[in-house]
Amino acid sequence: MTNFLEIEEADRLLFFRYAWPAAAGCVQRAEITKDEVERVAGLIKSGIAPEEKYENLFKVPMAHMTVLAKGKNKIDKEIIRGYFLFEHNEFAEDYCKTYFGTVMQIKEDHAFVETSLGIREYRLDLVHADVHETVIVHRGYVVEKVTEEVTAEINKLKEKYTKK
Amino acid sequence: MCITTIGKIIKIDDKKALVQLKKSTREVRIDLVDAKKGDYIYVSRDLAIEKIDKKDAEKILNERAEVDKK
Repeated sequence: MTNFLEIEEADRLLFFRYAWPAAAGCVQRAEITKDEVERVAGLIKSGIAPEEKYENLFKVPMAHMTVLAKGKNKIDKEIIRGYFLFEHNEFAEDYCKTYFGTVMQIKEDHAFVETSLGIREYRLDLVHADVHETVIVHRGYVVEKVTEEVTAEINKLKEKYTKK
Repeated sequence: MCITTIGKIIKIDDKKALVQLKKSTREVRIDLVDAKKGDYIYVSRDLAIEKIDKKDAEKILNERAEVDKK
């Protein structure tokens, strides 16, 4: 059993927005069923944080975030974004990285988002987004809308992680 | 999730371990995992993620070796 830190209750939903796009890999490894993945995605989109037990599907981010959170009692939104937007992008393959982008077009439950990779299609199963909005995408999904508040929080993290 | 490799701990020095990977050795942090010399662990970059049973580790390593041959 690995000694992961707990995620702050209020920030668990944010963690799952970033992590859930990787749940397809858990289906391949038979750790969860496809139906359950879809059910939990529905919870996330409704703004309901999935149960803690699902954190165990994502041991790599949990371990890295635990190390990043050194000195804190829990993993919070600063650590979650710090990991997925900065730390993890240093070693992830291009497809697995997170990217900022602008929503160009919406088609049913998909968004066409322009990022540094060009315009690609991303699923809206986890977060709703509208045309012209700035969003963060991860592994084929829109995972977070970049509001003014989120921008301010990410800018603080930029200073911290680029000083490293 | 992101790719992990499997390694065998060949030496432990406090919270760090020297791990034998497929073709190299790597120093990894083991402060999150209760592991000892001879244990197999999942490794992500320089971090031990989880211990893995020897039998399971050898099975996965053999399967990966078969894939590499193809």
